[in-house]
Amino acid sequence: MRDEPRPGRRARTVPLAKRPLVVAAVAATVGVLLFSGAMTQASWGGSQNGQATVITSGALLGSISAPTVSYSPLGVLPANVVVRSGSSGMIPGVTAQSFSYLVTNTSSVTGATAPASFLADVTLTFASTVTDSAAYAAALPYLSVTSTVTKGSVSRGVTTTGCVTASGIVCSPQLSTRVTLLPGETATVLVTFSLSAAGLVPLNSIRSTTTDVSSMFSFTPTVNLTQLPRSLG
Amino acid sequence: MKKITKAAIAGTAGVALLLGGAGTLAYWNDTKTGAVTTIASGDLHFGTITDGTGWSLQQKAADLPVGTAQLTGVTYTNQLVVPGDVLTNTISVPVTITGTNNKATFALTRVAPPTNALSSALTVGYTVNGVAYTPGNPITVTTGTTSIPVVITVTFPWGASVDNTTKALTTNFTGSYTLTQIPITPAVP
Repeated sequence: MRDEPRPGRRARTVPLAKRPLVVAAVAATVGVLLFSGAMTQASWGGSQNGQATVITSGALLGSISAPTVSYSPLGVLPANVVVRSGSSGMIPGVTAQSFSYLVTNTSSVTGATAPASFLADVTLTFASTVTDSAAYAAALPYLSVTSTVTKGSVSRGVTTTGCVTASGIVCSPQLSTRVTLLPGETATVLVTFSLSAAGLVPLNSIRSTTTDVSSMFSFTPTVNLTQLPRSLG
Repeated sequence: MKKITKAAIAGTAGVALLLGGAGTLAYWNDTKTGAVTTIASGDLHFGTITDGTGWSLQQKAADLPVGTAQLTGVTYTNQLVVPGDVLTNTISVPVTITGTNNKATFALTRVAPPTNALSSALTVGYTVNGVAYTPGNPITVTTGTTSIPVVITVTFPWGASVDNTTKALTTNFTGSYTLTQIPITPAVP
């Protein structure tokens, strides 16, 4: 801005910064620049994970031993029957043949204060293969099978009605023993086959002429351990 | 040069200088500092989330005979779990929510566990503030809240049939907690 000069005088120039109107204009421009910048305001949030808890499942496991075979008398021997010491095999009305198995709940557990876990119900299934069909067919009317499961001082009979069939010893579905095992506990399963005395004479014809004992059928028991809820222990 | 002329010239020059110079008239101003107004922001964060009361273990098989008393829960010390077991924990989640207009949503979910049959078999339930809670449906918490009670149940279901695929496996449970600020009033459309 230049003052109007006096005649004969050179116009005086005032520095730009001292000129009120110019200063005000500059200030306003700066203000506009400030308010039009990017708005970077954000909302708040937070996240966190809690402590990790490890969870491991157990396993219900069981074992069954090889059988122990034994023979037991069925009653008083008939007058004309002599059973030699050490005889094996079934003799109608005289000697029954038994198979004894040890069943153990081998499930793993931890924690002494844990409630009864892995409680298992013991059930049985029987299967067999007839090895001498003629002898088996002849013995069939006189053949019977019984079974007991013993745990400690408690022994329970297993219902085997209908298990002796023309095709062999078959018990299905599973036979409930109503015996339960905690981990580490053992029960004894006893399966006994016998021939009634009525077969003593008719079955003479199926006796082997070359051996003291002849096989009629093979037998395979299956023991199942089924988990029970803890509170039924 | 005559004295009169000098004086005249001097005076005239002086007057000319005074009247014709740049307008040095000044406006007035005054500056004072007003009272200090303190501005502090609120807060939104979790405290340290611990294991709460600790986990308890109890079996709650669905097919227990009527009237059969279930065992009471015992302290969970990493016992091996079996079908029918239920693990329960109560956690008071510490939070800080301050600020007059502060408001947030609280969400809870489970950190993805290892992939195996046991992980798939377990079911997880939650209550928050005593009300059943479903992940994906966060609840609202307001300013001044200092803790949020959460109950977590991890269930190993007792199935209707035998399934041995879940034996001898390991998984875990880790909760994931989230706070997200929300406007105190709905935005004007």
